[in-house]
Amino acid sequence: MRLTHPHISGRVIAAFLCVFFGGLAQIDAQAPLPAGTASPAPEAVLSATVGSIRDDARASILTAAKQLQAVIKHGVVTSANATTAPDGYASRVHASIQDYLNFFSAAINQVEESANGQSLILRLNPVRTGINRVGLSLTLTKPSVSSLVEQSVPEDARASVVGGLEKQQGDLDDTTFAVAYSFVTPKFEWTATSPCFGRDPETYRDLLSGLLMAAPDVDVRAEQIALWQLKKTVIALLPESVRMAKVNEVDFPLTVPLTDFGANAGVAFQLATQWGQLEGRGTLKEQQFFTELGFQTVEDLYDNQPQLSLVGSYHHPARFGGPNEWSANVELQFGRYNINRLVRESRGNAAAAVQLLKTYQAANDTADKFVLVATYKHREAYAVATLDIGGSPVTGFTPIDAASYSELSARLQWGMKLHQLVFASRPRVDVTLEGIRTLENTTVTKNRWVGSVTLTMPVNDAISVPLSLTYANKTEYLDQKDRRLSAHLGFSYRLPGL
Amino acid sequence: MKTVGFFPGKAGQRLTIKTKPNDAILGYYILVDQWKGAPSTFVKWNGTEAEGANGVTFDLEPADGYDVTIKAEVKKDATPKIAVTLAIDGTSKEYDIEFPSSEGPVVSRDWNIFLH
Repeated sequence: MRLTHPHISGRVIAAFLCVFFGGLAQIDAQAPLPAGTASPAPEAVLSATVGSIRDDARASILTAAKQLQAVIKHGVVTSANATTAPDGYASRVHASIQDYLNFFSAAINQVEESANGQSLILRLNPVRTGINRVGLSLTLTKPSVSSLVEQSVPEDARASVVGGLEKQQGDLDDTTFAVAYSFVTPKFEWTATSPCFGRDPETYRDLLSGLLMAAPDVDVRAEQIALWQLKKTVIALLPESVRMAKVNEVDFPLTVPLTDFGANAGVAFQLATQWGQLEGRGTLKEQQFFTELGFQTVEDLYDNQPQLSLVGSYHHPARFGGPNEWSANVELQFGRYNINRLVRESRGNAAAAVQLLKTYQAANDTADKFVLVATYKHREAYAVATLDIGGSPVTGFTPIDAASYSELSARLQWGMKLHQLVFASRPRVDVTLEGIRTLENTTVTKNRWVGSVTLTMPVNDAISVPLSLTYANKTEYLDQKDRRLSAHLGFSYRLPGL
Repeated sequence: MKTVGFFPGKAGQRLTIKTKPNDAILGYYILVDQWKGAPSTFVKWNGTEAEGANGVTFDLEPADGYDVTIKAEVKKDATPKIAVTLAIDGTSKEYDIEFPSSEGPVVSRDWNIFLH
């Protein structure tokens, strides 16, 4: 079935072309309708249009159409939302310190206001020496009154006292300093002899571009030749004045209203439909080609690169904002199959690496990963003996004497597929260890550590049998209260189609 | 595979390409095909070569035209983009081109240069 323009509004055609070619923002919603043109429901027209196109391009068009509907829906929802005027804290502070910041502009990387306007973040230029990278930031937050203080004021006077205390706090009184350290190799090359650290995309872009260049060429020559002629023909259908005025616009001529083609509008629409079919077919070919080559695994290899980061922070709230806090966090992640391994096993040869991608994809081992995260937090003791508002003590105030508090939490995860086959599939072993230890003053208030080993034996694609051994340092953290070690044998069935 | 722009040009003019990818682009290259009845590979650059201040450049030879294609490995569930500046003899045009991850793992976008 072929469609000709008298049955379709110019607006719908423009929308269809934009949907297919991704130019959602370019829709000319005001395009006038050709004289005497009927206006069928857009859904019916789109459905009929899609129906006229080859099966292999249909999925792409329908997906794009759904995206357009989502965009339109989002736009409607967004426009219907009432907006609340944001608090001006961040912009006010930003403006007041702007002149001082200019003196340090060489050291400041970014000054950023938080989305809710309550914080102003100053990031300094990262310091890099070799593979070491250090980043520093200062966050100014709108000072608030701690709930510890709030709850110590009699309820009937609470609102006015809190309001009075807020006025006593300055804009710059709530500060957080943070320092982040990580190993980041500046640039990784095929000739590298030592492993690379970090996940900065710029480190790998040159290498991964080389990997793509070494891949064989996808055969879309037929589409390319047909498209070249088609494009020239479509452009030639435009009047000279329109062509010259719009030729350099992005997505030209797909965003040109159909009416600009004048008497050639019907032919232009038919050619544009063929154009869409050819590009859709080419896209699907490329997608299938690179998926079969194993390029889906490239991102997994990138995400499995070893990454070590340390972050420390110190939060100094305003006088009535609660206790000072500091924290330290360490995170180590890596996967067995990563870019380091690709470079090592291919001996620095990009073409050999392309062949390895297929092997990695077939082995399906790129999900194997080791993750260690540990965090230590410390809150200092906090005491407020009396409260004064305008020189007068707050009557009924209960003095605050909060003890110091510290918390250590850690999580370790590791998992891999085993090489032994069970029911022709590879079992998987996962190890986890998780715990938390808290102290108030010098008294341990929580000390919980639980570890487990799970062996998952696949029976077929849908059914697997997990066997878990779990150990806890205290019996109350296990299902069986009288033992520290428990075992579970499970049965897992994946519903078809989910 | 999608055409995002056209350029009219003349033999003897110089084409310059400059690029700036975002963090969702893992790697990319630039391929130029020359048309003389049919396309043939004219030049190929690693994408990072075009990120320098001067970009990459070539002179248009007598031909029917050229296809400039950028082929990129993209991250899933991200919005991969490359800011591209194409200039012919000093007249430049800037594009902010998306490489939708739904078309991944490798997405291509191209420009046609018709010579007259």
